[in-house]
Amino acid sequence: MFTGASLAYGIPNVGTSLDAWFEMDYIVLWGFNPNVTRIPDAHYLWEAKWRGAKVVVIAPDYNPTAIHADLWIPIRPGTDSFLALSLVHVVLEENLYQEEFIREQTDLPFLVREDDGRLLRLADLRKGSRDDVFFCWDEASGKHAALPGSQGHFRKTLRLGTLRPALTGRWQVTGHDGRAIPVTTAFERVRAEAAKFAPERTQAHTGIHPEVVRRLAREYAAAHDPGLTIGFSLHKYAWGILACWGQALFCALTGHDVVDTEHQWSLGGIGPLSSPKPARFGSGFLGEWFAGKMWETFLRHYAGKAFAERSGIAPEELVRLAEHAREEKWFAHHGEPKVRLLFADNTFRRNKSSVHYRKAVLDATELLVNANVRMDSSAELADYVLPAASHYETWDIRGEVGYHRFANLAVPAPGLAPVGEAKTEWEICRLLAEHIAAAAKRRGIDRVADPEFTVTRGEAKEPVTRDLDTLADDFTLQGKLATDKDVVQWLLDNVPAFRPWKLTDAAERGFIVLGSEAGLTSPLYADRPYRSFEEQFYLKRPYPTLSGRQQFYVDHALYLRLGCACPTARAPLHPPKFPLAFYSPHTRWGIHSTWRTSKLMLRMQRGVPHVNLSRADAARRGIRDGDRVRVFNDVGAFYARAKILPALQPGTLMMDHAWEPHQFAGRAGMDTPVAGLLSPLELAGGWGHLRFGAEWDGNQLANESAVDVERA
Amino acid sequence: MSKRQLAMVMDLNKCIGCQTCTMACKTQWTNRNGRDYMYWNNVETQPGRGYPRDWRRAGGGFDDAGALTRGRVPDLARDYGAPFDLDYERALNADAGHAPPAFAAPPPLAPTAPPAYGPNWDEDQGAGDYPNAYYFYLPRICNHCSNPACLAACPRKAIYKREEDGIVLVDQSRCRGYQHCIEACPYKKVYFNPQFNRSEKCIFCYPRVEQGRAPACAHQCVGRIRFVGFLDDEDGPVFKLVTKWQAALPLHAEFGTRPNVYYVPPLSPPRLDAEGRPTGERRIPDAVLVERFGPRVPEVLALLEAERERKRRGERSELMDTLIAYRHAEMFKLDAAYYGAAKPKAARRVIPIVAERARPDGAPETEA
Ligand code: SF4
Repeated sequence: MFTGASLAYGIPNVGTSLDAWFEMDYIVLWGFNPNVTRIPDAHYLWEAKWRGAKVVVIAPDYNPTAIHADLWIPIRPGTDSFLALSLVHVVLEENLYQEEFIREQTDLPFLVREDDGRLLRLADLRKGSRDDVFFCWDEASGKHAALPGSQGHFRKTLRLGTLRPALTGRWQVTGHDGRAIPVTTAFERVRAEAAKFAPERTQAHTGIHPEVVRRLAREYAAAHDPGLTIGFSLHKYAWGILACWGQALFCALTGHDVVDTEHQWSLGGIGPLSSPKPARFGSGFLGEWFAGKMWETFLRHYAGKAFAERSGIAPEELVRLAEHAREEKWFAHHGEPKVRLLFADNTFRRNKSSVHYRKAVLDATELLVNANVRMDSSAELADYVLPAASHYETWDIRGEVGYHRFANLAVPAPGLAPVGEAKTEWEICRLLAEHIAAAAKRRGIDRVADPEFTVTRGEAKEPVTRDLDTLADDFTLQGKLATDKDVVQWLLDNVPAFRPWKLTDAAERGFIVLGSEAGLTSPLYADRPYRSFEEQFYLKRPYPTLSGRQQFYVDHALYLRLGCACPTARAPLHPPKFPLAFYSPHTRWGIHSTWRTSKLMLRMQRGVPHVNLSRADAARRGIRDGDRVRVFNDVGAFYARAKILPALQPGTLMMDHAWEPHQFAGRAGMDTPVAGLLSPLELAGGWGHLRFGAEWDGNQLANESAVDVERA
Repeated sequence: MSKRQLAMVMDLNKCIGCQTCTMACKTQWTNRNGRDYMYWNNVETQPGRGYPRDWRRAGGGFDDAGALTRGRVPDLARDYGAPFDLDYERALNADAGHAPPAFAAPPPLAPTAPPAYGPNWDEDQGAGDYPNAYYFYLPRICNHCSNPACLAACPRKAIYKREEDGIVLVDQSRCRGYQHCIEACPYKKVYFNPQFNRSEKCIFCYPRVEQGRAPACAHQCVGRIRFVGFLDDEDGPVFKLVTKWQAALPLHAEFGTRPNVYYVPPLSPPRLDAEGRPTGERRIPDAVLVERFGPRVPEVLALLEAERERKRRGERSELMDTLIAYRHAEMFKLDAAYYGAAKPKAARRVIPIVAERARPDGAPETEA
C-alpha cells in the first residue's frame, strides 16, 4: 500500500491514468520501471519524448526504463526520503513554491502548538469541543480562524472565502483554561525540517550530486505540466512512507498535481455481493507478521544499536508497538485460523522469511485448502487442492487498476469443457457454502455468535451471528447468482462504472470502456486522461483526510515521538553486518508468480532462478556469470544462478521477484533471507484518516534486508 | 531484385524489450513440429552475444568483391539453446500417494536438461561500467534482403524472392536440408527443421500481409515501434522514415545483402562524471552504434534531437509525428487489393510451411 500517499491524500492510490504521460512535458519516474512493469502503457512515455517531453528516471540500477530516459539518476537503495526532502529544500530555499495553491489545497497554513507540537484544535480553545476542527492565522482579520473543509467542520469546501491564511509567523491564542498557547504554522515546521536536508548534505546518503538535485527541482517547478510517478518498490523500504510523503509535499509546493501512485478506479455498486454483516477483514501486513512469527527473524537480523539509531526505536520496542497496534485495534486481527482456504493467493511464495513463515503457519494450521489453476508453491502444501478453471475458462471482468480506461472481459470459448474436475472459483465458493450450510444444519450449529462484532438491538448490545444455514443464499443474492456468468451479468447491470455496456456487446469486443463513474475522486471524462483530484483543484471539494486538505502535518503521538510529524528523511536499516542490500523488484516475466513457471517465459530467461550481481561484487567473490551461488544472511539462505549485470550498483544484489519457492533447491525461495520488518510509521492508527481499512494498512518490507553471496 | 519491396522500420528508441513480438511469432509459427528452438523474431540486448550466440561473427554474406562467403551453422544447444520442458513429474509427483512434501524437499521444478543458452540469455547485460553501463534492445527478423545470401547459396534454387513484394521464402518442396542457406545468412535468420529436414525462416507473415494485415510481430508490438509498408509508397511511413527523412538505417549493411529491415538508432542518457554529474556525452558510444548501423548514425541521432527540439518548441515535425504514430493503423500501409490484383489466386505458389501432415517416409507432405 502507498502509505505515504494515504498520509497526504487520505487514499493510497492517486494520480493519473497513464495516457496522461503523453500530455506531459516533464516526466519523473522514481523507483518505477514501466518498460518492465507497465508494458501496455509504456509507449506513452516514449511518444511523449518525441513530443519534446523530458524523461528522468531515478533508480539504483540502470533499468530498462532508464535506457530511454534523458537522464538517469542513480540513487542508493532506500535513501529516497533524503532526495525527496532535498527537492523540498530547494523549492523552499529558492522560493519556487506556489503560495496560493498550498494556502488552499494543503494543511500547511494550519496552526501548530509550539508547546506540544500538536495541531491547534477547537477542543484546545473550547472545553469539550471538537478535536477535528483546525485553525489558521487569518492575515485579513489578524486573528486565528477555523478553516472549512476538515472532517469536523460543517462547511465541506476548500474555499477560503475572505480568509487569508498566513504561511509563516508565530502568535499566541488563548486556550480554554485562559492560558496562552504559542502557535506557529505547519509550513514553518515543514520548512524547518526541510532546512536540514540541503542537497549538499544528503549527497552522503543518496550518492547524488547536489547540482543534479537542484536542477531537477528547478526544472520540475518550472515545467508546464510535469508528472512524478513512483513505483511500489519505494514502499518496500522502511522509509518509503516518508519518501512518498515528501514527494507529495514536493508536488504540492510546486503546485503541480500530486505524486502519481497508480490511482485506482471505483467499483462502487458491488456492495450487495457481500454479506450485509461485518466481515472479518484483517490487516494483511500485521496478520502475516503474527502468523509467520516474523518478529523472530526481525530480531535476529536487526538486533543491535544501528537499528535504534536510525529508526529512533529499539528493535524490541518495535515488536511491542506491533502488539500495541493489535491491542488498540488500530489494525484488525482476528487470531490465527485453524482452517485456511486460499483463493488467488500464493501465500507461501509471497510472504517474506519464507521458510520460517511456512513452518510457523503450517504448524498452526489444521486444514489447508487451496483453490488453484495450477500446482504452485502453496497448492503443493495444501491438504486439498480444488482445481479451478483458468483465467480463460471463466466469465470475468478483469479490471485494470487504473492505468487505462478499459476492463477486459474474459469470455470462455463456446463449448469449452472443463479440464478434469475443474470448476470456476465462483462455483467452488457456492458449493462450499452450500455444503457448509447443510453440515451446519445437520450438526445443529446453524447460527454462531461472533463475539468480535456487536449489533445494537433496542437498548441491548448483541453479538453478530454468523448464519451458517443461509451462507450460500447470503452470498448469491438468494440463489440468483449461481454461475460466474450470472455474476458478470449482475456487475454489468449494477456497477455504475460499467454502464451502459450490455453483456452481449462486451462479450463480442472482449472489453468494456469504463464510464465517467469509474473515477474515484473525480469523474473519468471520455476525452481526456483521468486525474484524481480535479474535483479538489477546481470544485474545491475536500480531500478524504482529517484536515480535508493535503495533509503534511500528522500529530499522532507516535509520529511526534519519532520526530516524523511532517515529512522528513531517515537512513535505510540494512544491517551493516552483511555487505549487500538485497532488493527484488517486479519482473518482466510474470505477474507476481502467475506465468513464472510458464515454459515459454522461462525459455526467455535462463530456465532457473537467477540472481543479479554487479561486476565489482562478482569479481571480489570470484563469481562468474552462470555460477551457482548461495545467498545468505542470519535469517536464511537460498541457491540460484549468478547473472552479472553491469547496470547494477555495487553493494546491491537484485533479483526479479516472485520465483516460485519450488523452483529452488530445498524449496527455500528467494525471500528466505528477507527478515520480517515493519515500518514503525505504518503501525500508527486510530487517528484522523489513519484508520485501518482499504485506505490505511502497512507493508511487508522486502527490500530492507542485507545479505552476502558466495559461490556454491 | 523484386519489382516492389516490403520493408519494416523499427524505432529502437521505443523498444521496451518486452518480447511480445517474439511471443506473437512463436505462438503463431514456431511452437511445434521441430520449430520450438527457432525464434524467427527475437529481441536481443546489445551489446551482447545475441541470438543465436555470436551471430555477428558467425560469417556469411558477401565480401567486398561481392563473392558469397560461407559461415558456420550454429549449434543447437550451444548457440540457439535447446528448448526445454519442465520436469513436473520429478518435482511435484516425487512422493505421490504420501504426505505432502512439506519440508523434506523433493527436487526443484526445473528444466529437464539444464539450458546452456537461450534466445534472451544476456538480457539487460550490455556493456560499460557502473554507473555508465549501457545497453539497448535489438529486435530481429529475417531482413528479406534485396540480395539474399541464402538465396545465392542454395544449390537447389529452393529459396526465392517474391516479385510482388520481395518477401524471401524457402520452397519446402525443393529444399533438401543442405543448410547452405544457414551458413550463408550473415544474420543467421534461416533455421534448420530437423523434423522435416528442411530450412525454414520468417515468412514476413505473408498470409496476413496478403490480407492487408501487418505481420504478427509488428501488429502485436506494444511498444508501437514497428512500421510496415512498401519502400516505394511515398504516402507510407516506411518511405518517410527510410527515404524522405533518412532516419532509419540497415543493420550491418556491410554484409552486402541489402537488408530491408531498418532501424532508427537509439539515443541514450548522458554518461555521468566521477562526481555523478551528467556529461554532454551519450552513454552508448557512437562507435558501438556505427559498428552496427553504419557511419550515418551520428547524423541521424542529431536529426532526431533537432526534430524533437522543434516539437518541444511547439513546432511541427513530420519525422516526430511519424515516429509517435498517433494512430496504430498509420504504422502499417498494406493493401489486400494489391495482392488480389497482382497475383490471381490460381497462379500463386503456396508455401507449405504450415502444412504439418508428415508423409510416411518422414518428409512433409506438400501442396502445390
Ligand atoms: S513487442 Fe515491440 S517493444 Fe516489445 S520487444 Fe518487440 S519490438 Fe520491442
